[in-house]
Amino acid sequence: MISVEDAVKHFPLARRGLRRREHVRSVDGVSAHVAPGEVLGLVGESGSGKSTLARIILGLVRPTSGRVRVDGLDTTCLTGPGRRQLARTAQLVFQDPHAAMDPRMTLGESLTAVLAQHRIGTREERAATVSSALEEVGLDGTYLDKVPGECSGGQLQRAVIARALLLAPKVLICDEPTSALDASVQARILNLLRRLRREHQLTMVMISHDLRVVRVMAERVAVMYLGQIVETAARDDLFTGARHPYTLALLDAATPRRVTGEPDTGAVEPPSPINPPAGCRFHPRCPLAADQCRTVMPPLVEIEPGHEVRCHRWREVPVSVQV
Amino acid sequence: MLTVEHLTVSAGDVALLDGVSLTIAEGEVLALVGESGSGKSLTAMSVVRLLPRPLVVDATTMTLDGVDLLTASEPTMNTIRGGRVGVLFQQPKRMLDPTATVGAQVAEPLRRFRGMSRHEARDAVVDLLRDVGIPEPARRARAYAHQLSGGIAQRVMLAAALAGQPRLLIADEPTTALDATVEAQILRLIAAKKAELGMSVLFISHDLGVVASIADRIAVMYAGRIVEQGPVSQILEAPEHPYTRALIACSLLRQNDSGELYTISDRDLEPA
Repeated sequence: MISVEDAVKHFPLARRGLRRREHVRSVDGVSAHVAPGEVLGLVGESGSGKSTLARIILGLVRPTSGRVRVDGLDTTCLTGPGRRQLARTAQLVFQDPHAAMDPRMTLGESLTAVLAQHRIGTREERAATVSSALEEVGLDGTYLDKVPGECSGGQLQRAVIARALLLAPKVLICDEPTSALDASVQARILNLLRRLRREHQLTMVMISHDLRVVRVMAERVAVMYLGQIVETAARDDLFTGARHPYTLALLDAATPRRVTGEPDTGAVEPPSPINPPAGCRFHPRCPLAADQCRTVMPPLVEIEPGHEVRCHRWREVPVSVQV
Repeated sequence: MLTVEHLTVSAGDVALLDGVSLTIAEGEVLALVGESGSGKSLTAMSVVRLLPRPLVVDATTMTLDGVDLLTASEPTMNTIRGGRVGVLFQQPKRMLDPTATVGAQVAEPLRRFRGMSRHEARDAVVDLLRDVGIPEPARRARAYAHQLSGGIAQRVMLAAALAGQPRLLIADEPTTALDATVEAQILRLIAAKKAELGMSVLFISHDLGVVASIADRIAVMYAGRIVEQGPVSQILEAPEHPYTRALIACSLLRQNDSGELYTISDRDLEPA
C-alpha cells in the first residue's frame, strides 16, 4: 500500500559567509513498505526524521531523491489532480489538534469544507455525512456548532480524526496523535483509532516517541536514528529480541528503574543531522563501537525473516544497553 | 522541612485547590502526580508564592525550614526563591533569558545569594556547569539559550538552581519535553545531585514511570485534592483509591479482557 524506496530529504541551510552551503540530512536513504491493512510503528527521538518521512509519504515534502508510492500513486511530484486523488487515499492526524483546526471555524464548518473542496454531495448530504462522522468518533450533534476554543484536546483530536476519515481514505498516518494528551484521554483516543482501523480496514503509520503507544498499536516497528532506519521487526520480535544497540537503549530508557544517585555520566546527546558522524551514525554513543563502526556505514541486513538491523556487531549486542 | 496544611487556592467562588496537605522531609523526594488541571503546579507555585494576584491563597500552615511562607515579607520571599528553593520547569529553553548568556544567568544567584564578585562568579559558573555534566563548560558559559539542546538547557537550569544552594528543589515536569534517553540522563542527574547535596525535591509529573524511578513518596492529585498519598511501592503496587488504580492502568496502557485499553470512568472518581 505504501512503498518508499531509498528516500532522501536534505533541507538546505542558509549560507554562512564563504563556506559551502550545509544541509540538514533529515531523511537519508530510507526504504519502507507497508502492506494493506498493516500498522507500522515509527519510533525515534526528535530530529530522527520520523515526521519528515511521513510528510514525504503524503507528498507534503518533495524528497531530494527516491521513489514513493501510495496505493500506486507517485507522491514525489504531485500536481492538482494527483494531490486531490492522494487526499482521498491518505490522510494525516497531527500531534496538536488545536493547531490542526481553524480556530475561527466551527467543527461543522471545518469538516464540511473538506467535502465541499472535493465537491462531494449536496449541501444536505454533506451535513448528514459530517454529523455521522462526528458521531462515529463519539461527538454528538452539539459539537457541530462549537469552535476549537470550546473543546478539550481530546474532543478536538476526535474531530481531527473524523475529518481525516471523511474522504474514506485507505491510509491514515498519525504523527504523535496522543503525545499532547493526558493518560486517560490518550487511552480513549488509542481505543478509538484501533476501532476505526478495524472497521475501515485502514493501513496505518503510527509515529510516536513512546514505545508503549507503538506496542499497543503497531504490528511492525521501524526505529529511526538520524535520518536512517536502524532496525525493523515485527512488534514482538522488536520488544523481546532487539539487536541494535540504539533500540536497546530506547527500550532501557523506557523501563522504569530506580535511580539511586549513581554518578552522572555527563550529557550525551544525538549528534547533529547537519554533519552526521562517519561510519555508523550511532557510533559516538555506542558502547560497542569498534574501528570499523567509525569508518564504514553498516548496511541494513536481514538477520531473520522480517527482522533487519543496521549494525556491524549485532551478533555481539548484549541484552541491555544504557546510553 | 516543608510543611503544608490545608492549602486552599480559590479564584472568586471556585476552589482550585481544596485542602491540600503535604510534608517533605529532609532529603526526601515527594512526587505530585495527576492529569492536567489537577492542581500539581498550582500547589508548587503556592509554596513559592508565585501565583497571579486574583488567586487567593489560604492555609492553616505553610512553613519551609521554619520560615512561615504565609506571612513572610516579599524581600524574604525573594531570598527564598532562587536561594533556598530552586525551580526547574518543563521547557528549559523558554525559561532561560534569550538575551543573556548561560554564564550570566548561572552567575546571578552566585552574586546575589553568595556575595561573589564578578570574577569569582565567572570561575564558579564554569565549575557548576561542569558539575552538572555539561561538556566544554567554559565554551557553553558564553552560549545563549537558542544554541542549546533541550537536555543541555535543563542541565543549565539545574546549575542555576544549585548555584543558590537550595534546600528544596521544585522540579515541575522537568523531563516532559525531552527525548527518552535524555530524560533518563536528567533523572539520574537530579538523583545524583540530591544524594550529593542532601536536598529535598518536590517532583511534579504526569508520568508514573518517571515518578517510579525517582520518588520516595507519591501524592496523587485529582481536581484540586490529594486523593491518595504514600510510599512509592504502596501507591504503585497496592493503590487504595480507585482513581489511583485507574490512572496507573491507563498510564501503562493496560488492556482489559476484550483487548480494549483501560480508561478512567466516572465510577473511579468516587471515594473508596
